[in-house]
Amino acid sequence: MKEYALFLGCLIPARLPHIEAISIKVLDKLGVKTKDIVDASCCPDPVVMKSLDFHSWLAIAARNLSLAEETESDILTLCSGCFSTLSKANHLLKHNAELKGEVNKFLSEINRSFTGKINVKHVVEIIRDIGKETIEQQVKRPLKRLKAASHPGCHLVRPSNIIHVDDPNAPTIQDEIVSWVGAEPVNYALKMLCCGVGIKMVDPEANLSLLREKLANLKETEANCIVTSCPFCFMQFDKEQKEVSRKFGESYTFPVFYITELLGLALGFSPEEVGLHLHTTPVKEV
Amino acid sequence: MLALRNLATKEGYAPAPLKNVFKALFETGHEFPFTGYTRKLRRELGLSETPPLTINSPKALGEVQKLMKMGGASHLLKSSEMKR
Repeated sequence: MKEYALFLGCLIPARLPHIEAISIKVLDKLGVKTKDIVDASCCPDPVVMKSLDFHSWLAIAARNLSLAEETESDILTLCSGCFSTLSKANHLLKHNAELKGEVNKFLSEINRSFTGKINVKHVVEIIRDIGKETIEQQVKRPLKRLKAASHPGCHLVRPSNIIHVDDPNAPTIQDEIVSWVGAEPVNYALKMLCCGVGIKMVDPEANLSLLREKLANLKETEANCIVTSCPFCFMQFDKEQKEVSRKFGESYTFPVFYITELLGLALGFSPEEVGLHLHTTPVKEV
Repeated sequence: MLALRNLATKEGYAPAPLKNVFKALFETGHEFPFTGYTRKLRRELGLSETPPLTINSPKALGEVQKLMKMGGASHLLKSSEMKR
């Protein structure tokens, strides 16, 4: 059984713990064990922290990587933001000796060091690597009524010179998983458009406009739900649809699934175990 | 672009919400600190109320704070440190 060091990040353990719980259960059922990265902090955020101070961002990311190195396992992350930060930091430090030297000087102050012996994986990569055959064999409840619009988000596939999960311009990894659980993937024109959450703090109006553009496009399709593998995008779609509907005088009520929630349902976990009762936008319609 | 943003921060120019993120990271080690509701929800889901994260470890928090103090945006910490 393959074992990974689970990097929880901030948003999932503090605001969306049902995603943490069902992800661990789904992975276990699919033969993937997870272990804690003791004393891990925020990744930190790939947008805010890097914009304020690149060196602090890199040093804190390196500390998290060094903690994971102690587990002797590759990192598994459930958050695309954490995935982006840790992948980029790991790549920079593995390939830039000068930067590695500078960061290890920082880390030596706290008796740690970065060696570069592990890799960083996103949960969708792990699921893809488990494979169609294994997952289809485990499906107890095919989700045939779901027509799922997949939202890859920004950080799962970028920066594309470092992250090679999928085609950065036309990713299909989530659509594949959607089809393996019996649901129908729905393509749409604005699939690659950002959900808007990244600019929410500095421009809440633009944030809602972006989200509305995306939701309006989805409404033109047959999609009856949204699937994502980023907790920030999940929260944006799940919680802000109501605000977009109010602000623009329109109605958006797409149920939103984090990728392991969808798998959890298909593998036979109850809606309560999956945490659907904790969603802001009701799921019962589908 | 990143270098310009970092330079602006050094000169004191950064949006207030971003400074708040920096402050939260310094004070807890996380962007989204735990609340009473978080702990209740985690308990109900069968998860540990105090997972082994920086937010639950003074030693780990000390390490994160030390790294942030060595960085180029350490001046952002002065006001919050003074308040404490």
